[in-house]
Amino acid sequence: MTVPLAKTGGARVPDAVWRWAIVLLGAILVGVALSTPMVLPVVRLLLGALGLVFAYAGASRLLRARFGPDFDPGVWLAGSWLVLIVLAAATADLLPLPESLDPSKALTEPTYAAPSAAHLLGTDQYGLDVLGQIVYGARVSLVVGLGGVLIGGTIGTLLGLTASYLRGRVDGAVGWGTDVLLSFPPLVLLMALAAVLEPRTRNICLALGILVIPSFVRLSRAAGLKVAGQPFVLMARAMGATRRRILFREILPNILPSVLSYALLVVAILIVAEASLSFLGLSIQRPAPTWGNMIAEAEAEFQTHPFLLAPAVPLFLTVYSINRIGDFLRAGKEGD
Amino acid sequence: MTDDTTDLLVVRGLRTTLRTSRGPVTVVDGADLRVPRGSTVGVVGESGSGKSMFARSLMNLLPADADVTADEITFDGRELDPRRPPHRHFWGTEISMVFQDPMTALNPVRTVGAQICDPLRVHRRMNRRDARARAAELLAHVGIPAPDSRLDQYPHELSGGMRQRAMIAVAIACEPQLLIADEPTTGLDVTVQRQILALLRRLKDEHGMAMVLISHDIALLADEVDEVNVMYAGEVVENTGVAQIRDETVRHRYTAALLRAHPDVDAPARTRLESIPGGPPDPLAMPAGCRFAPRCEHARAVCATETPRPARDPRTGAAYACHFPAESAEELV
Amino acid sequence: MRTKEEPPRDPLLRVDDLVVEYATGNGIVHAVSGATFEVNRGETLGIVGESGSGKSTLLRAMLRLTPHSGGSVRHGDTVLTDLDEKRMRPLRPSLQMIMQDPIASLNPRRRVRDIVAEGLHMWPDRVVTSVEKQVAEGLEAVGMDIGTVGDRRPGSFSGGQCQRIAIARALALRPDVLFCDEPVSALDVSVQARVLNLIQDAKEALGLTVLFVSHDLGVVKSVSDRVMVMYLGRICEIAPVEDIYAAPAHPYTNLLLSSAPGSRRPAVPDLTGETPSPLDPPSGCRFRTRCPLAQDRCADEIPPLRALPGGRGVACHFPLDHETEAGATA
Repeated sequence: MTVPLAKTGGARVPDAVWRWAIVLLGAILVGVALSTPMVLPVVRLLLGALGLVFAYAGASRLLRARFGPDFDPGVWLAGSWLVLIVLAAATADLLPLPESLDPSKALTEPTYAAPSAAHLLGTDQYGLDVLGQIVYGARVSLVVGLGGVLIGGTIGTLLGLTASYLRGRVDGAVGWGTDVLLSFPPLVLLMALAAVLEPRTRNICLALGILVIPSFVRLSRAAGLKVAGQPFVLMARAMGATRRRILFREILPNILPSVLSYALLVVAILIVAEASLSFLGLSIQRPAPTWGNMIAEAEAEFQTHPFLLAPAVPLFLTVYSINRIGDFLRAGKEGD
Repeated sequence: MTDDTTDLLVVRGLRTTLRTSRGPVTVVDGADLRVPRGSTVGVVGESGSGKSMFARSLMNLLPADADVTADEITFDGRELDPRRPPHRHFWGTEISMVFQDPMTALNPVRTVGAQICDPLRVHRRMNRRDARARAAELLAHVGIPAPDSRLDQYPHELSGGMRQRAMIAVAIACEPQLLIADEPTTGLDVTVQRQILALLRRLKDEHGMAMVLISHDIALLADEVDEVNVMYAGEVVENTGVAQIRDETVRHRYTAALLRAHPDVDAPARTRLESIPGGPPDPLAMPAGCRFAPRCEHARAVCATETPRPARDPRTGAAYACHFPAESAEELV
Repeated sequence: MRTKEEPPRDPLLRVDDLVVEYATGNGIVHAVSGATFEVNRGETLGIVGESGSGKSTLLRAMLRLTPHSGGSVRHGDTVLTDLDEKRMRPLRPSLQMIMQDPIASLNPRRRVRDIVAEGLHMWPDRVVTSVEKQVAEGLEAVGMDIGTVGDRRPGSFSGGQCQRIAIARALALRPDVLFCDEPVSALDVSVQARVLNLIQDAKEALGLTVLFVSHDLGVVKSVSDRVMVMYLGRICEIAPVEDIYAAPAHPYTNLLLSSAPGSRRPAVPDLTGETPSPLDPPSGCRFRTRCPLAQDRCADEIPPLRALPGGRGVACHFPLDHETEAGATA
């Protein structure tokens, strides 16, 4: 690790100057990328990205020098992004966004408009604002991601926990159920569900929730078995604790950390899964916006209107941020 | 012929420091050990006393970033650098070691025979067939019945006592001059423990080996060894003959307290044991002065500030480091 | 013939022909085979044996924590073995246990004050003053201050401290019987004495009956009133502590005592030196494969646990003590 060395050598001036120089270089690159419309867009994009990398590298060195080697600016950035996206999704109705939901109210707006002051990310084929749709689409992504995990995680964990402690016939039944569920190809299962369920947010949550039940059952059952064999569980029995008390007071708190860190991972997976379903037309239908169906629609047009692919960016950032924070929490747990 | 008058191993001022996430920890702090030829020397201590680290320091079995220094280590008349062996066959042929848990010290996926052959093939350059024949002899020698068939068994197929015998066979394969046995019977049943100790005693006599026997059980040592080194918090606080342990005329207050706390099988029934208050000190925050002082009922102000200097009992020759040692037997009379 | 004074009998627990067998992939494990004994009110019964003797299984079966295959356990007038779990539960606070691994017997995610209060929350009828007060008193009795330890979690304590917390938790319920399963085996000598003394003090203060399982003969001698020796699932011998240590009647007891570190007894021959597998125990007397006194009869007949004078019992066809000859013919 070079970080402690940089810290011990912190008295030397060149270190700080060097760090600021990297930040400055990044800023200049970003500035060039933004202010040179004559250059090819691809070159501008590359320059901007390179600038951001430099700015990030320099800033993180500065921050580590300031707050110590354990400071992780990536985690802070990821956290900030998630806070921002959650806030935006929650307050979408209050934000001063151009019409993004009802095509009939956007009849006067230009279609396929390029980014401008009125439409920061342009408009789509109905003249609806792309930025506004991204914000509303975040609602679907977040609700489906969290809701699916809430449904699947709760049911799966309870089943796995009960199976691990009661063993015997209950364990057998739960194991059989998860095996059956796992043996369906997920896409076929979802298509079957889509055939009977109306494509509404609630139903998408339900469908994805059912899909992730088996993995939560397996995780919590394995963790539960490990805890159930611990002497303190036997001690609780010897004290006359009821089954419910043992399950929820003794075993559950001990498996919860691993279940939660896994749940975070699944949130990210479900956000992508919902986008994929939307892309396939199995989720919420246009014109109601989701990141997935926006990308699906943009696919046909992106040669001429590349900005329509904009929802891919928040999708990537959100999933990346969730995984980044998950890693951070797991590392912290292991460090105990 | 061995010379009875010289010591096989002399260690003075051994200091071992391990790097941990919480900072460097000195697990052995200035320990001395003297092993006369053909003798059995005991090291007793509780968990965290540094007794196992002491042995591992002598066997070069510490992590690479550990720091071992000593004022003197002499083995068989030669100066010994604890991190650099005099020749590449040193460990295993001149000093070798028996560990507490043969289940983890033996490789679970290799046969017992293969593991006994290892030292023979590496150190003795034996060919496969000779090594196997010798391995069978060794198994018979350590009292394992039907040794030929045992060679092809895996450690988990043997009982705990048999596994420990197999590990002893590995350790003595190259006929070392010194055998270090670190808790060789801990975790075994008492009837099996008795057999293993008898085996070690027999091997020691037959081969003229010297032995360092490390244990947490002072009564066990009193049965087996000639002299006892008592370790506490990384230091050897007392070195005394086994007679003083047996008749409880030890000088250091920790040794005395340990003997009183030990439930003796020959003591009168329903005797209340004397407990030692508190627990061993945190190795990162060792008390100043005598390290046992915070738990010692005889401690006075000086004990908390000054490190006790080593002293020698003129009558028994026992060495101890205690400001207010227990009265020796003659003073009590 | 001299007659020894019979010790007073006041059985609180009566175990009759208790059998614990369970199936594994390799066959049926005969963990406890026909254990019959009594535990008197207010006494400490030490149970000694080596690995595979069934001593811990016996304890758990008595507490109905392990299913039994036959026989009965009585606590006072109640036949514990007849009860289903629902009717067993209300009796559990009276029968408390402490275990070998003190750190693992406490839930790592809970605070010490909640761990000790757990039983009192479950059994409000055991609260005399208030939960908070009784928890504080319980911890004080084991030498701990609730103010300094109450909010910490088990991970920050040593083994000895955890065992004291476990004792405080068990005693908070005011049990009649304390089942101790190797309570000091994981502890250093300097701290084990304190735990043993705490159990002893609690026994005297609360009039507890104690079952104390250990493999350490010295520890058992220091705490027990009577001692029971087990080998491969069977009881070999049961006797007052002084008698059994002074003059063991069963050859296995004799071997065990002579093997203990620090013992001054002469060495006893041990024929095979290996305990047979509990999957396939020897016929007749299970110790016969190692016993220097074994004869043909030992392989054919299971020796019953016979009462001897002085409140002793021994399960051997050829016991060591002379007095037992008389008992055998009587």
